[in-house]
Amino acid sequence: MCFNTPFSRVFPAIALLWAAVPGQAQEDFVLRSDATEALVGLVVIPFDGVDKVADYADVAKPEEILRADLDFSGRFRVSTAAKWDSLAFSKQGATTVLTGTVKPGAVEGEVDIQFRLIDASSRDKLLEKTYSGRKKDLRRLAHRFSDDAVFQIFGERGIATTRIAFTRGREGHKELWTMDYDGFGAQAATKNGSINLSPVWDRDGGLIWSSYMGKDGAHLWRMENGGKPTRFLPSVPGMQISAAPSPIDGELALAVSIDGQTEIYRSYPNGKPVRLTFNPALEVSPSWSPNGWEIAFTSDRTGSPQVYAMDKDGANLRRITWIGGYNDQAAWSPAGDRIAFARQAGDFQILTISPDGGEEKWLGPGEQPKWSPDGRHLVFTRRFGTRSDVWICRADGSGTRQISFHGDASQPAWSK
Amino acid sequence: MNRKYALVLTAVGASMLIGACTKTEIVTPPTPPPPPPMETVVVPPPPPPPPPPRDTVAERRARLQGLMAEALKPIYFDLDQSNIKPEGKDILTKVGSLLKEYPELFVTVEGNADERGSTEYNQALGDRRAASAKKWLESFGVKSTQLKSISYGKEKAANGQDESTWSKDRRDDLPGEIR
Repeated sequence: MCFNTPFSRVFPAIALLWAAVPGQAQEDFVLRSDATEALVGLVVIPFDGVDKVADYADVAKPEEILRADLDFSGRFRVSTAAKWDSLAFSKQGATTVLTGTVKPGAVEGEVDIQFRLIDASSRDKLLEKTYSGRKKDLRRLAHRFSDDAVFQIFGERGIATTRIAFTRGREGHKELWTMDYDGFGAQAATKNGSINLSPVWDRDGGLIWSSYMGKDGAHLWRMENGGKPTRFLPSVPGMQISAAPSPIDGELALAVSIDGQTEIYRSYPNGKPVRLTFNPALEVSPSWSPNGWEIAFTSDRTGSPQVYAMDKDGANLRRITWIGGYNDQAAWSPAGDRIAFARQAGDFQILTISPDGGEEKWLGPGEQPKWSPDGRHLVFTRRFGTRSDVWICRADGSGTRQISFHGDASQPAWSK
Repeated sequence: MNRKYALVLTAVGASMLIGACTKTEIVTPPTPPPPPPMETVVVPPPPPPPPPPRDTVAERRARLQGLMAEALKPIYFDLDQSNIKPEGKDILTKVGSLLKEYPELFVTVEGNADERGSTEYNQALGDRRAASAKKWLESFGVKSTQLKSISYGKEKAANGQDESTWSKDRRDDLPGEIR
């Protein structure tokens, strides 16, 4: 069975369907036509003891969280059953069953949740884990077992325990926030009253962003998880617009403007910046290739913003996007085979393209795309009038779902 | 060879000029108007610097604040452009004159962009606009120590969705400060 469906197999089907509905640009996301063959059939059975133990009136039940996680993961064909039914499971092609038990915890006010992953035909336990926590932790416990299940079956890290950083606010005041990948558990990360922009996650879980704290233009700041912000790269002069850490060694690709001239640089946290672009046009939004050899970025050197790529020493410069008059916000996929970007044509649209400039694919309306760490999903913002919110989808554009609802969220970044 | 010709030519040219000068001198009749010695009478009324800083610090500050309110107007740009338009040059001329006259005045050029396009691209574009006005003022003779530039990108753009809003968002603000 092929779990990691290559893009080359998925996209021709999308191209065909897209061609069939060219006028519909709103909510029509195309499902993978070959999805079923690649997915693992999984049945979720409600957990025992849920009603007896904790007050779940305002908390989703574990089976609901697990079902949503595993469905969105894009790896399973998830269904539910009230109880064990071997015949029905077999007919559905379900090979795996997920269920569990909720009990009062050893510690007052806590619950123990036992999760079980079971082979549908042999009834062998594939994985059993018990996690304890308070009511506020229940979502996190279920997410943990979602990722356990993904790892047990696929040997890969899931995304259920990841978080998304984003900005909240409007004209002249934006703070950083983080939330679970499904939009729950949102928390303010900064409260400095300034304009905080372009957050990215460092490799160790810290946040790097550009802020107008200090009234002297935009500078980079860094914050450990829950720690105090400190100036980042203070020796780099000029306006520091954004930074992207290399997935290989943490070297930063930077967009820095000196005297109105924005160029791409790279620098280690305590090193000297090396300038990579030399052009009177403006160059912004660098994004590393996953092997740390190349950097994609935006340049308006032809008179309109387009996506380019170059080697990390500035050599081998090449233009990636050729269609449309405004292509920006490149994000290189963790697998390296696609670059997501936003095209402005009236509203913004999200597309992906091969790093050699071929196989351009449209995913849907939105902008500011960023990849999940497993490369199977994208987070982005979508605007309606003056409202802007964070959405997620699978890498083929399916499973689209809104995860912020205040109308003032933008610039999402998915944790590593 | 060439150099020789050049020398000869310049020599000829020079002699012709001298010739011309001498000729006109011959033609012009002895100029009659000998300036009457009335200079002593003209001198007293206008002292060359118009209002000398006789006023107190507070008065000078108040006057400067009035002039700032008049001169420090925003300048506007075309879509995706950072070149200073003629109306912008008129404003910057006044701003530049004020800065030259009042060295205690300090101006921050704040570049802005309309809300279309990405956050980062617009920050770069705003910085280009701010630097463009700052450079213009410097070449006008303003000391660079009296100037600073900052870009806010689209972070201060109004929430409008039409050209009349966008055209107002594509601007440099010029807030001043007396130091």
